Amino acid sequence: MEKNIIEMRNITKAFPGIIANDNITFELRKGEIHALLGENGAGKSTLMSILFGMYTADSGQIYKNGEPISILSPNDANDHGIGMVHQHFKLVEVFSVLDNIILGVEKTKNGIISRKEIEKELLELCEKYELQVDPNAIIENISVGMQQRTEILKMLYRENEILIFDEPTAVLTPQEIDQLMITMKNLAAEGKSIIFITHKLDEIVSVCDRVTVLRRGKLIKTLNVSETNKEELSYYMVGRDVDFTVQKKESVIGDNVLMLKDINYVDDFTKKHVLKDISFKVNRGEIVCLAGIDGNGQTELGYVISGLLKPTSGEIYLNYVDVTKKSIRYRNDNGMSHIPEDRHRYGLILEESLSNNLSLKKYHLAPYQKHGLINQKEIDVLGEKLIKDFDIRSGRRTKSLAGHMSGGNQQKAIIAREIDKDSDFILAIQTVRGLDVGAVEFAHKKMIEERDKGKGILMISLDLDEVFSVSDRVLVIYEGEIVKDILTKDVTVNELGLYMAGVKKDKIPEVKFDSRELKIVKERSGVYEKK
Amino acid sequence: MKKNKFTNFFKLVGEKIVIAAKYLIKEYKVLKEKEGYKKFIASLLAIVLGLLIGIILIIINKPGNALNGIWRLLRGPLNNPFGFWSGIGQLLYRSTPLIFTGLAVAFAFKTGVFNIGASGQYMVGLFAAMVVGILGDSLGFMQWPVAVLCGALAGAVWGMIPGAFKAYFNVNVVITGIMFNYIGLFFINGMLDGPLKSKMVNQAQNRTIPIDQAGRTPYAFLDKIFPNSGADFGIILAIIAVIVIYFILNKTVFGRELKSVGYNHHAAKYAGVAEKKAIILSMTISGLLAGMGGALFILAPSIFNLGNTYNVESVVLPAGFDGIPIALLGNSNPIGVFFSALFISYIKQSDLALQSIGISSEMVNMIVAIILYFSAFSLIVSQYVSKFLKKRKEGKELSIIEEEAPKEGVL
Repeated sequence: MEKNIIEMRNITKAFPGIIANDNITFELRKGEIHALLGENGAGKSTLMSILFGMYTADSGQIYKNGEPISILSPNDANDHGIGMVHQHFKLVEVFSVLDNIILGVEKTKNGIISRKEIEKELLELCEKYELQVDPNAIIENISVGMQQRTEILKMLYRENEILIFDEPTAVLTPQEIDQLMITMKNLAAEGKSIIFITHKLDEIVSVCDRVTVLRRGKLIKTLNVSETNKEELSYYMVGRDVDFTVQKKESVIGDNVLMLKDINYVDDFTKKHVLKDISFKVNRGEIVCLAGIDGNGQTELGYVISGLLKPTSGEIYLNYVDVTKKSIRYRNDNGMSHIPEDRHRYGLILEESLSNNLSLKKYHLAPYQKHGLINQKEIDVLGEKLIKDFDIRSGRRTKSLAGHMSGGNQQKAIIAREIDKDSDFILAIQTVRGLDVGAVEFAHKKMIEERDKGKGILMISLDLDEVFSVSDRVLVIYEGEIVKDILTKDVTVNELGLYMAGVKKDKIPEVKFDSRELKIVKERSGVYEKK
Repeated sequence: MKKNKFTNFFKLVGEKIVIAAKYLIKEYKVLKEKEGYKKFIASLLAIVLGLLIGIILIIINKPGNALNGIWRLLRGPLNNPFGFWSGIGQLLYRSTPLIFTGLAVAFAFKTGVFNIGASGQYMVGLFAAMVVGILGDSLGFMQWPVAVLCGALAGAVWGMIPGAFKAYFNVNVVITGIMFNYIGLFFINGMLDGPLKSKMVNQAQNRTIPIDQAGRTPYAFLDKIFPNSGADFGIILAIIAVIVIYFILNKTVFGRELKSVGYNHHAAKYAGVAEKKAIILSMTISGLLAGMGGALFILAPSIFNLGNTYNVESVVLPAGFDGIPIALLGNSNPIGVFFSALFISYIKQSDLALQSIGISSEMVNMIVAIILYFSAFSLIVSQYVSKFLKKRKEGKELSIIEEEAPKEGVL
């Protein structure tokens, strides 16, 4: 029987309106990899924030090696040897790897930082744990994977024994994920204890020793991974059986809904050539996924298609109409739905009620307005309908402020609004970010329903599981270029990973309208107004 | 038989009262949940705290006359020697420009723009109205409406320019706003010292000559209700403006678009709102309100009014700046602005009465300033209030699903 290095006993933490952690007991043994699993709002991050000193528990006690300890701030946590790799890295972009690692714990000789010695120490650490990092590289120039390794080194340099990984795989390529798994195993073998927060059951099964499942703030079970399986885990997490295989029919390709032709975008400020000659088509009846590692131009491409950014050159056709110079409202009203990447910045007005948010793209149309006057009654009717259809949970239904809802329900509200618009084309960026397994299943089902109704869908996703479970065709973007265009059924995860990492690159055939389509374009230019 | 009728009658009345009470309690419960209610309580708290500190200051300042001083402070305009109704009339008259500038600032706030240029807009409005009011003899009975209109339009143009700079060149509105205050001031003084000097300025006093009779706003019978006061048609226009602005902000598509730009301009853009247009229109309407305030101030017919002449050497008039705290105290809500303007001018009107017992009029300004400080803290105060309200009913409502949005989307 291994010793418990950390015990969190009977932890309770309440926020206004909800008990985030209800009498949770969590034990971490020395040298194990312990997964923490749960739905949106299950209380995982609250529990870890308590351990890391960002919140204090209302009641309960934390023990280290059997001794009660109190952790009031992240500094306390660090003193007790607890380190955390956050989902969004806490690195200074313009500093070198080494500077980031020593930040706050600089070793000095006569007041001068002894870089050489530190560098030697770091290289030893890298060797010991097989972490490939160049200590003198600048953070903004290195890959996300290397940034993550910098974070891990940061913890090791501070001689932390308890390492918390918060959804570390969300931003990595398949190859990098494999590498991370090996690293985690090495760390555990060296006697470090690891808490691994994740949504992905495969990863738990492949690397973890034990798993603790939380649901709605309560502890459900702690299991040995060797004695369980994915189906059982998801059952414990969601409280019902989850269907992992997304059922879908063969796609029936129809007319074109979106075509991009030679889109270039150069950032005015940094002069960086973010998008290079991007051309592709999305047709009715297919889900096209744009895969790629974060930061390869997906964000800008999303902005360009939705109209938030004007491309430097190139053309965008929506339903055979050149919309390159048209307003965002024109696109919204003429068949484009857009689930934005950043739900707080673009997707919602947090200070407004849920029903006003659900009508964000419709309030200027009848029957939600008449002679310029808002018809709040109709807006609330729409709100009630969407809340029911999409199972959006909020305290005061249509009257809840969007900002008071949980992240998962906010995302559901956006998905509800965009699907309800009944657009010909849906641009869905990171659709299921922050959604739990049950909600992901629901969102994907909805997307496929829309596809079967003859809509064209472009999903921009960082999650390869999502790419493979819903898409009909995959585009890979690498450094602002489309490097692969292939039917999903013809490609494997590993092959895709090579394209995402820029190792392989294909010539993409020219994208253009045929003569019949050109005729439609001509017909619709000028005469095609509102539907 | 007769007795029976009586009891029946009372029963009926009783039932009606019970129904009304139930309705009120229900409405109150709904109201209590609203953000606006908390903000209202916070503003009220600021006022009470400010007055308390003011009272303490008076006691320290003049212990002998303290009770008398406090009484006079609280009576505000009711110290008026001509009696209650005159006092109220004077209150309404003094409030009119403040309501307009308060509305102007509040309206821009709602769109997320800080209109510090309200003073400039107020002044060009005042100037345009004055020019029509003095030189527009040929307009006849239309002279004062045209003067008001011209004032409003001048203010609108003065607001629109900083708005356009913001929208097209991303120049901070605060900077252009302040610059346009001075451009307005020196433009007016230049005009009155140059081409208009001979026609409009009484050179002995260095003040403009009075507005024509036909150029002054009518009393609209308010002088009958409020004798010996300055109350005129301006206050009626102010009330109309409050209602119109409230209506625009809360009931129209246009208002919702403006508010969405104010709350989150990224999301507004995403939803298809033309952001640039919204900012320009918001500043234009804001300027229009401030300009109208200036116009009504200079055109007021009051015999007590120093306003219907303009001192050529004056500095930037403070009425527009006063709009900022009024908008703050009123939480940028048009109805809140109306009452906070009334309140500020109520307190300010105790100055003469206080001076007569040896308490300096600066005391009043200090009290107003303290109240405004507290109202600027109203966010903190309102958080405290909502915490207090929550504490009282803790344990009852923990089952609501609403929860804190996870900060980093971890869950």
